[in-house]
Amino acid sequence: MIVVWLGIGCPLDLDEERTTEPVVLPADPLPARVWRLTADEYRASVADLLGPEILAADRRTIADGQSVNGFTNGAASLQVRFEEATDFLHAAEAYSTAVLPRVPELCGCDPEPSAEEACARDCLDALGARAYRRPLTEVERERLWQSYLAGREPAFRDGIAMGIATMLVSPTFLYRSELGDPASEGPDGMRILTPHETAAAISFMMTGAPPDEALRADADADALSDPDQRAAHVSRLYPRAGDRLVDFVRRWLAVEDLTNLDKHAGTYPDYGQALLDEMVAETEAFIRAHLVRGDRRLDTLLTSPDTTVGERLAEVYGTAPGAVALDPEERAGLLTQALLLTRHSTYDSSAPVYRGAFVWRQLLCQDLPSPPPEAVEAGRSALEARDPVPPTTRERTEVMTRGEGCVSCHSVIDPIGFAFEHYDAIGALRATEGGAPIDASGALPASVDVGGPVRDGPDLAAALAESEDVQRCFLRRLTQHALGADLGPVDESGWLHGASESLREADRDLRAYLVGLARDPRFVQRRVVPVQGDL
Amino acid sequence: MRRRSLLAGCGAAALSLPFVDMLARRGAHAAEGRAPVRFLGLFNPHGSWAEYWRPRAPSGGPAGRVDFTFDFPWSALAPLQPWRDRLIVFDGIDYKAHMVTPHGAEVGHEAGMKSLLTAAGWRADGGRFANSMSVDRFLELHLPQTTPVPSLRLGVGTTGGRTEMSTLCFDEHLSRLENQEHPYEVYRDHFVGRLGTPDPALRRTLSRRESILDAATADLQRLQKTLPASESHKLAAHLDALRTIERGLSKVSCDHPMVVDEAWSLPVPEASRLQIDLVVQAFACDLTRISTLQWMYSGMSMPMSWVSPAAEDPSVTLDLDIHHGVAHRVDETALARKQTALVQRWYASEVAYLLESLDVPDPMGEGTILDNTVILWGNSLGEHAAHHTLMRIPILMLGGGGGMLKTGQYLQLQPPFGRYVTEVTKDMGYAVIDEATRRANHFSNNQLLTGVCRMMGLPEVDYFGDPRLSDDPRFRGVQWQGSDADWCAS
Repeated sequence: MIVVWLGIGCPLDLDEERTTEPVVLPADPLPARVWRLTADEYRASVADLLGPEILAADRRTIADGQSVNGFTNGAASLQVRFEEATDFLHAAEAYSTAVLPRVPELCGCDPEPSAEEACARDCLDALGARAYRRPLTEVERERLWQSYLAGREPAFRDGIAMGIATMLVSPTFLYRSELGDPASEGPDGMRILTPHETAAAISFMMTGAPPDEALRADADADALSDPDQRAAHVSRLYPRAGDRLVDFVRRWLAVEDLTNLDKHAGTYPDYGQALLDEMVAETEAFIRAHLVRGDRRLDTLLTSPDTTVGERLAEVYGTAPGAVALDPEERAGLLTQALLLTRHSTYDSSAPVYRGAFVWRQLLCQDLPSPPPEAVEAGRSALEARDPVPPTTRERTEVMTRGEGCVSCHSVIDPIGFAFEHYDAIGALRATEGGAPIDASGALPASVDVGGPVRDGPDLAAALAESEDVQRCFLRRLTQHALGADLGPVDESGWLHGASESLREADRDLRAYLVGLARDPRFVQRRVVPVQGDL
Repeated sequence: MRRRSLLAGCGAAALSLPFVDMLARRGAHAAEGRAPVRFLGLFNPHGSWAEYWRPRAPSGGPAGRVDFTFDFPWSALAPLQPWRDRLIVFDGIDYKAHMVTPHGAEVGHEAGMKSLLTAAGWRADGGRFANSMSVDRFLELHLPQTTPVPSLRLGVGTTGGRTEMSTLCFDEHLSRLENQEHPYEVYRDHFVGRLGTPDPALRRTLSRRESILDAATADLQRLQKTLPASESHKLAAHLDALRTIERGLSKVSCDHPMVVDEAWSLPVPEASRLQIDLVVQAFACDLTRISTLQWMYSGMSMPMSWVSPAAEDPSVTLDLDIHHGVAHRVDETALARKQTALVQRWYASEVAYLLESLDVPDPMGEGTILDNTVILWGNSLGEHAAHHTLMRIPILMLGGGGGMLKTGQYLQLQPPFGRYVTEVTKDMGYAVIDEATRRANHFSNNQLLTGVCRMMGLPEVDYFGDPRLSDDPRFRGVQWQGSDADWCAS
């Protein structure tokens, strides 16, 4: 999108999509809930049931929930309304039609008439248990058999396909149950997740997909009430968490959305889809290298100069393509990567206000109000009164935001954003702008634990990497993504605090945090009694 | 329905709607022989070039209110010349919702396309989506549900994977409503089984669907009983959705059903015609009375190689980077301006085909279907595409609106642009539009959507969209909270 601000005042809440939500009961266990599969989880579940090649049969995108802090997988807002119900229905029809030729292979039998019923029942049992992530009840078994009978003309495989379609639109498939075992409910309204619910909770948290064989076996053996066993599964699945972690980091950094990234062609002639693709590839490879593999530390993500760049991006960075160690004086970690800088820029300029607001909101978990209208007026007049217009973005920003109603916010966020002024709207280094030298000196406010002046982008990144505040904010967001709810500040919550203790003990290895979450008793507790703040 | 109760009790018309004559149809809904009014929203992206888009006087000078023609060289709307008495050209409608932000005006592709049918700005809570449901959904919720299909949302070339740039319609939860892109799927999902189709394979699809839905409904009802109160609303909404789908499966008949074959390969021009045919069929058979049809999406760049070279100059073609690319260059080269005219002319030719198809006797009552339809055709960007502003949007209303639409008019709603500093735009990413121009213009698409609601049988709707845009003092100070917005003052 190209944004033109008529009122050249304080274009502060441009990025309204990242709002924070009031904190709900930080220390409490989660409410008993049903959690609709996200579009990605739905496709992973279909692939798990019918084989990954089936996904080619239907490519519709099912709508996810509302964005909270950039995350759309919240259990509270993932629903099935008319549009999603229609999408799920048509997708189920497409998948169950495409699977027809593979039914005998899927069932492991292609029966003679005499053996048809046994073959069909066994097949539906096995597929149903996989789809519903637990053994079938008698009622469900009978329902699938009736579907089979309704669909079995002209052939056995049509009946199985009908059964599969029935599974794929069943709420038991579409929602992950976290209702807990009613028999476990105490007078305090707490329940414990069933073994199969626990297996799914671990599996989806780590891989975004249904439980694998090892988890299913432990669920069958009721071994997941043992915290060590849950912890072992989290560690075991961690190498397969790459897609989930990439998705998490991209949302955390607000770079998951690649729409509206046009840049002024005259100013940036080399910019285009091919370069943007390389930017995405760099960041994704970086996340995998340092968070999935590597030392898995937040400070490494924020400071490491070790990255892998394609040919076009290498031109932008002024380096050789391939695996490189960038000059640490120029770039440090995710915050100085081209993707992030390009996203947090305007059409034809760097954007100190957006960049500062981004750090403030997403790395420090701070709220930011909209600018008051009178401040906008003042900012507009201030710039219009300047002739000639100042040559640098920094100066123009300073002129526009020095008004009385602006400074309270802009004195906080602008100095953070100014530290990125060495990078233009596509993340390339620049020494001058409009003929004037770049001034990238900035500051983190005193309210932050690492507050104080910073020289430039790498210096800012180094400060943030050592910040406990940033670490706590990161863990809060990571927890929201993992558990489908924003549980509030980590340090006020016994549960999350426990997990962050295990992080500390493991020398900041983030895997230990996820292990700590799964090990906590509250991972398997759910509250049935509604408390104010639910929904 | 909460919003319905808000609507009830609204006062008399507070809004000037110079294009609507409600009296023309007083008591119409009770009258025998009257066909229902249908609504069709049309969208295509990338603005236009005013010189070629605005009609001219037949004598060659500036056009007058009724004295206008589309017949001149490079006319973008040339295909609509035979229909000029059945439409209104609105020159000077702004997407004002995006001009009253605390910061001034926004411009850009997706803001525009979201504004067309919502007349609202961004929603505050996340995603670059609209802060109101779109008028198609509003009508769907508030009109008595008498048709088997609540609405159709059709697309041609709209699945670019860039959802924020390709979304036109929103529901009451401010979630986007998807287009159906493939004519066969539209046919299969909404037409089959309702129009006496003879195809046994399709009948089988239908009965399977009923059986699958029955099973899902039973599962939901069973699961619902085990839920804590805090979660039951989710499954209640899910059950409602399944009931809506099932109600849609009940059969109606129409005498002349068309057939769409799954195997047909459909390039854009063919798909466009087929989607139009489906809308016409659906309106004719009263499958639905509400539809949208969206061609392409904002920001897409593709050659339109099926378009013939311009009759005016065969060297002007759409064989290369067209569409978004030329929109950015209209103020740079004469070629780009002519290409923009040619792009928009193709859309106009599709609209002309639509009008021709609708202009047949209405099986539901008096007049032709076109007489009983109100069509709103809008764009994502203004008449000066390169600026990407949301001012002076190319918008037409077409059809008779059940006799209520005062067609055959060219309505010039604001003076030409005031100070508009292009140099500043180019250098700094800011545009300055002088305050007088901005304030002088009080016409936004809110009025158009209000008119649509009234023509469709909701005369009590006094305002549609963001109430901050209203000049009516009753709406001033109304708290605007997205989906909870009050639609009229009490």
